[in-house]
Amino acid sequence: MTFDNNLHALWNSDKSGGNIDIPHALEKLKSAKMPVDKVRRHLRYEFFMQLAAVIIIGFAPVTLKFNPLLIFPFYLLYFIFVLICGYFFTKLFLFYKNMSNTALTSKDNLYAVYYDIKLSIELYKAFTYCLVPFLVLFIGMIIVNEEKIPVDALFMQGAAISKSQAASVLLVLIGVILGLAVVTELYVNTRYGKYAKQVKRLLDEFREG
Amino acid sequence: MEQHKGIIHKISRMYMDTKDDQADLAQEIILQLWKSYDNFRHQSSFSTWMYRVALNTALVFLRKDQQQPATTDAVPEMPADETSHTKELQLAHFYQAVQKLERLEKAIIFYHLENYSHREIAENLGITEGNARIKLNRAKTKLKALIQQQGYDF
Repeated sequence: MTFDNNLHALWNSDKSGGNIDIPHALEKLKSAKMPVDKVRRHLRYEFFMQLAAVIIIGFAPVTLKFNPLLIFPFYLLYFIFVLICGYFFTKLFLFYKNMSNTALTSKDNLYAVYYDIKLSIELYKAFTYCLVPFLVLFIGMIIVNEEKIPVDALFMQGAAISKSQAASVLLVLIGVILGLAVVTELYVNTRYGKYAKQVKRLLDEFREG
Repeated sequence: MEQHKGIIHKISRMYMDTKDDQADLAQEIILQLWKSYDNFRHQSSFSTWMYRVALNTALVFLRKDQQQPATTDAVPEMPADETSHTKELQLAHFYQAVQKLERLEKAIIFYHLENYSHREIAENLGITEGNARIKLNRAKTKLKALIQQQGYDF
Protein backbone atom coordinates (compact mmCIF):
# COMPACT_ATOMS: atom_id res chain seq x y z
CA MET A 1 0.00 0.00 0.00
CA THR A 2 2.94 2.32 0.55
CA PHE A 3 3.44 2.62 -3.19
CA ASP A 4 -0.12 3.88 -3.45
CA ASN A 5 0.26 6.37 -0.61
CA ASN A 6 3.54 7.67 -1.94
CA LEU A 7 1.98 8.07 -5.34
CA HIS A 8 -0.88 10.09 -3.89
CA ALA A 9 1.49 12.29 -1.95
CA LEU A 10 3.62 12.81 -5.00
CA TRP A 11 0.60 13.59 -7.15
CA ASN A 12 -0.70 16.19 -4.73
CA SER A 13 2.71 17.78 -4.50
CA ASP A 14 2.80 18.43 -8.23
CA LYS A 15 2.01 22.09 -8.43
CA SER A 16 3.71 22.74 -11.72
CA GLY A 17 0.49 23.54 -13.56
CA GLY A 18 0.57 27.21 -12.63
CA ASN A 19 2.31 28.25 -15.78
CA ILE A 20 -0.50 27.32 -18.14
CA ASP A 21 -2.23 30.38 -19.41
CA ILE A 22 -5.85 30.09 -20.28
CA PRO A 23 -6.67 32.11 -23.36
CA HIS A 24 -9.92 33.97 -23.10
CA ALA A 25 -10.39 34.55 -26.79
CA LEU A 26 -11.83 31.37 -28.15
CA GLU A 27 -11.23 32.41 -31.75
CA LYS A 28 -7.53 31.99 -31.27
CA LEU A 29 -7.97 28.31 -30.62
CA LYS A 30 -8.81 25.90 -33.32
CA SER A 31 -9.19 22.22 -33.03
CA ALA A 32 -6.54 20.44 -35.00
CA LYS A 33 -5.86 17.09 -33.52
CA MET A 34 -9.13 15.46 -32.72
CA PRO A 35 -9.73 12.50 -35.04
CA VAL A 36 -13.23 13.54 -36.06
CA ASP A 37 -12.12 17.07 -36.90
CA LYS A 38 -9.21 15.71 -38.83
CA VAL A 39 -11.29 13.35 -40.93
CA ARG A 40 -13.85 16.05 -41.64
CA ARG A 41 -11.25 18.62 -42.58
CA HIS A 42 -9.64 16.22 -45.05
CA LEU A 43 -13.01 15.27 -46.47
CA ARG A 44 -14.00 18.89 -46.91
CA TYR A 45 -10.82 19.53 -48.79
CA GLU A 46 -11.56 16.63 -51.10
CA PHE A 47 -15.10 17.80 -51.61
CA PHE A 48 -13.73 21.13 -52.81
CA MET A 49 -11.60 19.31 -55.35
CA GLN A 50 -14.68 17.45 -56.48
CA LEU A 51 -16.62 20.69 -56.69
CA ALA A 52 -13.96 22.02 -59.04
CA ALA A 53 -14.30 18.86 -61.14
CA VAL A 54 -18.08 19.32 -61.27
CA ILE A 55 -17.67 22.85 -62.59
CA ILE A 56 -15.14 21.77 -65.21
CA ILE A 57 -17.44 18.99 -66.40
CA GLY A 58 -20.21 21.56 -66.78
CA PHE A 59 -18.18 23.34 -69.44
CA ALA A 60 -17.38 20.18 -71.41
CA PRO A 61 -20.07 20.71 -74.11
CA VAL A 62 -18.70 24.18 -74.80
CA THR A 63 -15.03 23.32 -74.86
CA LEU A 64 -15.51 20.09 -76.81
CA LYS A 65 -18.02 21.66 -79.28
CA PHE A 66 -20.75 19.13 -78.62
CA ASN A 67 -23.13 17.88 -81.26
CA PRO A 68 -26.33 19.94 -80.62
CA LEU A 69 -28.31 16.72 -80.26
CA LEU A 70 -26.19 15.73 -77.27
CA ILE A 71 -26.43 19.01 -75.40
CA PHE A 72 -29.90 18.55 -73.96
CA PRO A 73 -29.35 15.01 -72.60
CA PHE A 74 -25.98 16.11 -71.27
CA TYR A 75 -27.37 18.98 -69.25
CA LEU A 76 -30.32 16.91 -68.08
CA LEU A 77 -27.88 14.45 -66.57
CA TYR A 78 -25.69 17.26 -65.33
CA PHE A 79 -28.61 18.79 -63.46
CA ILE A 80 -29.27 15.55 -61.55
CA PHE A 81 -25.55 15.23 -60.95
CA VAL A 82 -25.39 18.70 -59.39
CA LEU A 83 -28.42 17.95 -57.22
CA ILE A 84 -26.71 14.85 -55.84
CA CYS A 85 -23.50 16.76 -55.15
CA GLY A 86 -25.52 19.48 -53.42
CA TYR A 87 -27.10 16.90 -51.16
CA PHE A 88 -23.74 15.57 -49.99
CA PHE A 89 -22.24 19.04 -49.61
CA THR A 90 -25.01 20.21 -47.31
CA LYS A 91 -24.78 16.99 -45.32
CA LEU A 92 -21.11 17.40 -44.72
CA PHE A 93 -21.10 21.12 -44.05
CA LEU A 94 -24.34 21.77 -42.23
CA PHE A 95 -25.51 18.69 -40.44
CA TYR A 96 -22.29 17.85 -38.70
CA LYS A 97 -21.55 21.17 -37.09
CA ASN A 98 -20.96 20.83 -33.37
CA MET A 99 -22.34 17.38 -33.00
CA SER A 100 -19.89 16.36 -30.34
CA ASN A 101 -20.67 16.39 -26.67
CA THR A 102 -17.53 15.60 -24.77
CA ALA A 103 -19.25 15.54 -21.39
CA LEU A 104 -20.61 12.04 -21.90
CA THR A 105 -19.07 9.10 -20.10
CA SER A 106 -15.79 8.21 -21.75
CA LYS A 107 -17.14 5.05 -23.29
CA ASP A 108 -20.23 6.73 -24.72
CA ASN A 109 -18.07 9.53 -25.99
CA LEU A 110 -15.79 7.09 -27.77
CA TYR A 111 -18.75 5.36 -29.35
CA ALA A 112 -19.98 8.75 -30.54
CA VAL A 113 -16.57 9.58 -31.99
CA TYR A 114 -16.34 6.17 -33.65
CA TYR A 115 -19.80 6.57 -35.12
CA ASP A 116 -18.99 10.04 -36.41
CA ILE A 117 -15.83 8.88 -38.15
CA LYS A 118 -17.53 5.85 -39.67
CA LEU A 119 -20.47 7.93 -40.82
CA SER A 120 -18.24 10.51 -42.47
CA ILE A 121 -16.30 7.78 -44.24
CA GLU A 122 -19.44 6.02 -45.44
CA LEU A 123 -20.90 9.31 -46.61
CA TYR A 124 -17.78 9.93 -48.62
CA LYS A 125 -17.90 6.45 -50.16
CA ALA A 126 -21.59 6.76 -51.01
CA PHE A 127 -20.88 10.08 -52.70
CA THR A 128 -18.09 8.60 -54.78
CA TYR A 129 -20.23 5.66 -55.87
CA CYS A 130 -23.10 7.96 -56.76
CA LEU A 131 -20.88 9.75 -59.22
CA VAL A 132 -19.70 6.65 -61.08
CA PRO A 133 -22.72 6.12 -63.39
CA PHE A 134 -22.68 9.80 -64.28
CA LEU A 135 -19.03 9.74 -65.13
CA VAL A 136 -19.52 6.66 -67.29
CA LEU A 137 -22.36 8.37 -69.17
CA PHE A 138 -20.46 11.64 -69.53
CA ILE A 139 -17.44 9.84 -70.87
CA GLY A 140 -19.68 7.86 -73.22
CA MET A 141 -21.15 11.09 -74.55
CA ILE A 142 -17.74 12.60 -75.03
CA ILE A 143 -16.59 9.53 -76.97
CA VAL A 144 -19.71 9.62 -79.16
CA ASN A 145 -19.06 13.28 -79.82
CA GLU A 146 -15.34 12.98 -80.51
CA GLU A 147 -15.69 9.94 -82.77
CA LYS A 148 -18.43 11.75 -84.69
CA ILE A 149 -20.78 8.80 -84.28
CA PRO A 150 -24.18 9.91 -85.61
CA VAL A 151 -26.41 10.28 -82.59
CA ASP A 152 -29.67 9.36 -84.30
CA ALA A 153 -28.10 6.22 -85.74
CA LEU A 154 -26.99 5.28 -82.24
CA PHE A 155 -30.60 5.10 -81.09
CA MET A 156 -32.32 4.02 -84.30
CA GLN A 157 -29.89 1.28 -85.23
CA GLY A 158 -29.13 0.10 -81.72
CA ALA A 159 -30.47 -3.32 -82.68
CA ALA A 160 -27.73 -3.64 -85.26
CA ILE A 161 -25.09 -4.02 -82.53
CA SER A 162 -24.02 -7.64 -82.36
CA LYS A 163 -24.27 -9.66 -79.16
CA SER A 164 -20.51 -9.94 -78.84
CA GLN A 165 -20.12 -6.16 -79.19
CA ALA A 166 -22.75 -5.62 -76.48
CA ALA A 167 -21.01 -8.16 -74.27
CA SER A 168 -17.61 -6.50 -74.62
CA VAL A 169 -19.08 -3.07 -73.78
CA LEU A 170 -20.69 -4.62 -70.71
CA LEU A 171 -17.46 -6.31 -69.64
CA VAL A 172 -15.49 -3.09 -69.94
CA LEU A 173 -18.11 -1.30 -67.85
CA ILE A 174 -18.05 -3.93 -65.12
CA GLY A 175 -14.26 -3.80 -65.11
CA VAL A 176 -14.22 -0.02 -64.76
CA ILE A 177 -16.80 -0.02 -61.95
CA LEU A 178 -15.05 -2.79 -60.03
CA GLY A 179 -11.72 -1.07 -60.45
CA LEU A 180 -13.13 2.20 -59.14
CA ALA A 181 -14.71 0.42 -56.18
CA VAL A 182 -11.42 -1.24 -55.24
CA VAL A 183 -9.48 2.01 -55.56
CA THR A 184 -12.04 3.90 -53.46
CA GLU A 185 -12.10 1.30 -50.69
CA LEU A 186 -8.31 1.10 -50.55
CA TYR A 187 -7.87 4.86 -50.62
CA VAL A 188 -10.46 5.53 -47.91
CA ASN A 189 -9.12 2.76 -45.71
CA THR A 190 -5.52 3.88 -45.82
CA ARG A 191 -6.32 7.56 -45.50
CA TYR A 192 -9.17 7.61 -43.00
CA GLY A 193 -9.44 4.07 -41.70
CA LYS A 194 -6.54 4.58 -39.30
CA TYR A 195 -8.55 7.06 -37.22
CA ALA A 196 -11.44 4.64 -36.94
CA LYS A 197 -9.01 1.87 -36.02
CA GLN A 198 -7.40 3.97 -33.32
CA VAL A 199 -10.73 4.66 -31.64
CA LYS A 200 -11.77 1.03 -32.05
CA ARG A 201 -8.60 -0.08 -30.28
CA LEU A 202 -9.40 2.29 -27.42
CA LEU A 203 -12.94 0.96 -27.18
CA ASP A 204 -11.54 -2.55 -26.92
CA GLU A 205 -9.56 -1.44 -23.89
CA PHE A 206 -12.85 -0.68 -22.15
CA ARG A 207 -13.99 -4.27 -22.43
CA GLU A 208 -14.54 -6.39 -19.38
CA GLY A 209 -11.64 -8.52 -18.12
CA MET B 1 -11.38 27.16 -14.69
CA GLU B 2 -8.44 29.13 -13.34
CA GLN B 3 -8.35 27.17 -10.10
CA HIS B 4 -8.41 23.83 -11.91
CA LYS B 5 -5.73 24.55 -14.44
CA GLY B 6 -3.24 22.37 -12.61
CA ILE B 7 -5.43 19.44 -13.62
CA ILE B 8 -5.18 20.32 -17.29
CA HIS B 9 -1.43 20.40 -16.94
CA LYS B 10 -1.33 17.04 -15.18
CA ILE B 11 -3.51 15.34 -17.74
CA SER B 12 -1.48 16.77 -20.61
CA ARG B 13 1.69 15.57 -19.00
CA MET B 14 0.25 12.08 -18.50
CA TYR B 15 -0.87 11.72 -22.09
CA MET B 16 1.87 13.42 -24.08
CA ASP B 17 5.60 13.12 -23.66
CA THR B 18 6.99 16.14 -25.45
CA LYS B 19 6.54 19.72 -24.30
CA ASP B 20 5.03 20.68 -27.67
CA ASP B 21 2.41 17.97 -27.63
CA GLN B 22 1.60 18.73 -24.01
CA ALA B 23 0.97 22.37 -24.81
CA ASP B 24 -1.19 21.39 -27.79
CA LEU B 25 -3.22 18.98 -25.72
CA ALA B 26 -3.72 21.57 -22.98
CA GLN B 27 -5.02 24.03 -25.57
CA GLU B 28 -7.30 21.43 -27.04
CA ILE B 29 -8.74 20.57 -23.63
CA ILE B 30 -9.43 24.24 -22.96
CA LEU B 31 -11.13 24.56 -26.32
CA GLN B 32 -13.28 21.50 -25.71
CA LEU B 33 -14.18 22.82 -22.27
CA TRP B 34 -15.37 26.09 -23.76
CA LYS B 35 -17.25 24.30 -26.48
CA SER B 36 -19.09 21.95 -24.18
CA TYR B 37 -19.79 24.37 -21.38
CA ASP B 38 -23.41 24.47 -22.55
CA ASN B 39 -23.66 20.82 -21.61
CA PHE B 40 -22.64 21.49 -18.04
CA ARG B 41 -26.00 21.30 -16.34
CA HIS B 42 -24.91 21.66 -12.76
CA GLN B 43 -26.12 18.13 -12.04
CA SER B 44 -22.61 17.20 -11.21
CA SER B 45 -19.86 19.21 -9.62
CA PHE B 46 -17.78 21.40 -11.88
CA SER B 47 -14.67 19.31 -11.35
CA THR B 48 -16.41 16.04 -12.31
CA TRP B 49 -17.66 17.59 -15.51
CA MET B 50 -14.29 19.10 -16.24
CA TYR B 51 -12.40 15.85 -15.64
CA ARG B 52 -14.69 14.07 -18.05
CA VAL B 53 -14.29 16.56 -20.85
CA ALA B 54 -10.55 16.79 -20.33
CA LEU B 55 -10.03 13.03 -20.30
CA ASN B 56 -12.36 12.43 -23.22
CA THR B 57 -10.28 14.91 -25.16
CA ALA B 58 -6.99 13.37 -24.10
CA LEU B 59 -8.17 9.84 -24.92
CA VAL B 60 -8.55 10.52 -28.63
CA PHE B 61 -6.02 13.31 -29.05
CA LEU B 62 -3.56 12.77 -31.89
CA ARG B 63 0.10 13.59 -31.83
CA LYS B 64 1.58 16.23 -34.09
CA ASP B 65 2.66 13.52 -36.46
CA GLN B 66 1.57 9.95 -36.33
CA GLN B 67 5.02 8.53 -35.73
CA GLN B 68 5.86 7.69 -32.20
CA PRO B 69 8.68 10.06 -31.26
CA ALA B 70 11.70 8.44 -29.72
CA THR B 71 11.06 8.64 -26.01
CA THR B 72 14.13 9.65 -24.15
CA ASP B 73 14.80 7.37 -21.26
CA ALA B 74 16.92 9.99 -19.60
CA VAL B 75 15.24 11.79 -16.76
CA PRO B 76 15.77 15.53 -17.14
CA GLU B 77 18.34 17.41 -15.13
CA MET B 78 16.91 18.87 -11.98
CA PRO B 79 17.79 21.80 -9.75
CA ALA B 80 20.25 21.03 -6.99
CA ASP B 81 17.98 21.98 -4.10
CA GLU B 82 17.78 18.76 -2.08
CA THR B 83 14.10 18.25 -1.17
CA SER B 84 12.62 19.71 -4.31
CA HIS B 85 15.23 17.70 -6.18
CA THR B 86 13.88 14.34 -4.98
CA LYS B 87 10.32 15.45 -5.59
CA GLU B 88 11.10 16.53 -9.11
CA LEU B 89 13.01 13.35 -9.79
CA GLN B 90 10.14 11.24 -8.48
CA LEU B 91 7.67 13.18 -10.59
CA ALA B 92 9.82 12.81 -13.67
CA HIS B 93 10.00 9.06 -13.11
CA PHE B 94 6.29 8.87 -12.48
CA TYR B 95 5.34 10.70 -15.69
CA GLN B 96 7.86 8.79 -17.70
CA ALA B 97 6.42 5.48 -16.54
CA VAL B 98 2.87 6.69 -17.09
CA GLN B 99 3.71 7.31 -20.76
CA LYS B 100 3.99 3.58 -21.24
CA LEU B 101 0.49 2.82 -19.96
CA GLU B 102 -2.49 2.37 -22.25
CA ARG B 103 -4.70 5.42 -22.70
CA LEU B 104 -7.51 3.97 -20.64
CA GLU B 105 -5.12 2.99 -17.87
CA LYS B 106 -3.91 6.57 -17.69
CA ALA B 107 -7.47 7.79 -17.22
CA ILE B 108 -8.07 5.25 -14.45
CA ILE B 109 -4.85 6.16 -12.67
CA PHE B 110 -5.76 9.83 -12.95
CA TYR B 111 -9.16 9.34 -11.33
CA HIS B 112 -7.60 7.19 -8.64
CA LEU B 113 -5.04 9.84 -7.81
CA GLU B 114 -7.83 12.39 -7.62
CA ASN B 115 -9.35 10.17 -4.91
CA TYR B 116 -12.25 8.83 -6.91
CA SER B 117 -13.77 5.60 -5.63
CA HIS B 118 -14.12 2.53 -7.85
CA ARG B 119 -17.78 3.33 -8.32
CA GLU B 120 -17.08 6.92 -9.35
CA ILE B 121 -14.35 5.84 -11.76
CA ALA B 122 -16.76 3.34 -13.29
CA GLU B 123 -19.51 5.94 -13.61
CA ASN B 124 -17.30 8.47 -15.33
CA LEU B 125 -15.78 6.03 -17.75
CA GLY B 126 -18.96 4.11 -18.48
CA ILE B 127 -17.74 0.72 -17.34
CA THR B 128 -18.80 -1.57 -14.48
CA GLU B 129 -17.45 -1.16 -10.97
CA GLY B 130 -15.84 -4.59 -11.02
CA ASN B 131 -14.15 -3.82 -14.28
CA ALA B 132 -12.87 -0.53 -12.90
CA ARG B 133 -11.42 -2.31 -9.85
CA ILE B 134 -9.65 -4.95 -11.93
CA LYS B 135 -8.30 -2.41 -14.39
CA LEU B 136 -7.11 -0.06 -11.64
CA ASN B 137 -5.24 -2.83 -9.87
CA ARG B 138 -3.64 -3.95 -13.09
CA ALA B 139 -2.65 -0.42 -13.99
CA LYS B 140 -1.11 0.17 -10.55
CA THR B 141 0.89 -3.05 -10.71
CA LYS B 142 2.05 -2.18 -14.18
CA LEU B 143 3.00 1.35 -13.16
CA LYS B 144 4.96 0.08 -10.17
CA ALA B 145 6.84 -2.40 -12.34
CA LEU B 146 7.59 0.28 -14.89
CA ILE B 147 9.00 2.63 -12.27
CA GLN B 148 11.17 -0.17 -10.90
CA GLN B 149 12.37 -0.96 -14.40
CA GLN B 150 13.61 2.57 -14.59
CA GLY B 151 15.75 1.75 -11.61
CA TYR B 152 13.70 3.69 -9.13
CA ASP B 153 11.44 2.84 -6.25
CA PHE B 154 8.94 4.84 -4.28
